[in-house]
Amino acid sequence: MKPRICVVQFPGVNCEYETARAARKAGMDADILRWNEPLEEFTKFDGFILPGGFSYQDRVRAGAIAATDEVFEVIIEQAAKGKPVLGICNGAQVLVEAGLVPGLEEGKVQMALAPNTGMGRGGYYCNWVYLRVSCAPARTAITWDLEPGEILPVPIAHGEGRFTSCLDGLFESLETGGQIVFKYCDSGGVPAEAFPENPNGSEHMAAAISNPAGNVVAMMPHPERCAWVRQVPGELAGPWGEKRLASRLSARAMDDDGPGARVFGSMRTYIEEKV
Amino acid sequence: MTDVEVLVKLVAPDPWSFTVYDALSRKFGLEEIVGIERMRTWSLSYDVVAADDAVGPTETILRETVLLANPNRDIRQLRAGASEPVKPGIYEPGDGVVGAYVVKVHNLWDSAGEKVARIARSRLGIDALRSVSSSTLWVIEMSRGEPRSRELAERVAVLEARGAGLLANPHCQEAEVVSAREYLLGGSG
Repeated sequence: MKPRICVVQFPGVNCEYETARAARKAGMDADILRWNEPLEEFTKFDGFILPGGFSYQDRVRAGAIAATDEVFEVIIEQAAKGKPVLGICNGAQVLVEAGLVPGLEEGKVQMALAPNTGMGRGGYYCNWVYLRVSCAPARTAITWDLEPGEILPVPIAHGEGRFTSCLDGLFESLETGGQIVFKYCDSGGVPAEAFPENPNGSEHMAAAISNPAGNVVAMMPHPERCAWVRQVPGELAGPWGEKRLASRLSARAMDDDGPGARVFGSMRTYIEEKV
Repeated sequence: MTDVEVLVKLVAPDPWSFTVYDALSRKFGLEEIVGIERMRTWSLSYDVVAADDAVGPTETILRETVLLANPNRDIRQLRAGASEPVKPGIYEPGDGVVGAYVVKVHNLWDSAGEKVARIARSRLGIDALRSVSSSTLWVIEMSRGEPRSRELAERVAVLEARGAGLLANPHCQEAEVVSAREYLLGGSG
C-alpha cells in the first residue's frame, strides 16, 4: 500500500497541485485537504506537506496566521508520532511561526524567516540555487535516500527566506545537532555565504532546517518545481543540467526524476521504513 | 535632527485587521478584544532644526510620489509630533471600547524605509533627509480598562510560542506597546 500524504491547502497557497503531483510521482498517494476539513480527516495520513504560496495573503507576516489554525493541533500531534511534515517555502514559514522548527524547546518560536537581505536590498527573488546535503542523510525524512554531501539544483521564489534568530548560539546548536538539512552552495558543492549562491542572506547558509527528531523540515527552495528532468534548465552547471540537455530529444527521458524528486522519494522511503 | 511622522490608513475596510481580529478573538479566545485597526507609520528624520523645514520636504514626497501613501487608496496625516491628535478618518475609538493600545511593530531590517530615503534623496533632491523608518501600528481595542487592557496588548504583541503572541516575531521584528490615547489622540496616560 502506498504511503498517504496530505497536502494542506491553506487559503492563499498556490503550489498544492504541483506538490501533490510530485508526491504522486514519487510513489505516494497524495490528497489535497483544505485547512478547515474535519480534524479527524487529517489523522488518516502518513505524512504532511505544507505547500508554497501566500497563506492568508501573508497577513501580519508570512505564515503567521496559518500557524494559528486549529489544523495545527493535529499536525503537531501526528508529528509527535514520527510522521514526516515537510513545509516548502510558505509552508516552511508556517512551521517556523508555529514553533515546530527548530523545535529545540517545545512550543517556543525560536527563529524567523526574515526578509531577504542577500541582494543588498530586500524584496522578492526567484532563481535556481544549489543545495548541499549538510546533515547525515538518515537524520531527516527528506534526505533519507540522499548521499552525504549530495548537490541538488532547486528553484527558489520568496521575499522572506532568511533563517535567522536573536538567540545566541542557536545556529551553532543546530549545526551540532545536524538540524541544518540543506545549505546553499555553489555548483561544485562548496557552501557559500554570499549572494547569489546564498540568495537571501540566510544564517549559516541554511536552506532547510529540521526539528531535533528530523521528521519535521522547513525548506525554502521548491523541490516540486524540479521533480521532472524537463523542469531543469539545460544551462545549469553540473550533472542535472547535463542530464536535461541529453534528454532534450526524448519525451520519455524528460519525464525522468529531477533533483526535487529525490526529496519526495526520500519521504516515501522514510514512511515505508519508519512510520 | 527633526522627526516627522506620516500615518497612513486604507480608505476601504482593511481585511488584514479582520484577519487579526479573528485570530485573536476566536482562535486565541480573547473575547475582550472588540476591534483591531491597522495603519502604517513612516518616521522621517531630517538634518534640520525647525519643524517646518522637515514638514515641507515631506509634503513634497507625499505630493510627488506614492512612496508613503497612495491618495487613491489611503488617507494620511503628517504629524510633527505624537502630541498632535490624529484626524477621525485615521483613528477614532469604536463603540464599546474601554481601553485601546497601539502595538507598533518595526522590522529590524527595514528595506522599505531605506528605499524611500534613497529615492527622496536621489530623485527629489531632498538631501536633508537622513533616514526613514516604517512600522505597522496595530490598534487593539478592548472592552476592558486598565490594567487588563495593557496586559492583553502586551500578550498579543510578541510571538513567543504558538498561541502566545502574534503581531511581532522577535527574531526579526521589535514591538512597542503604547496607549492609544497617548499615541493617537494627543492625550496622556
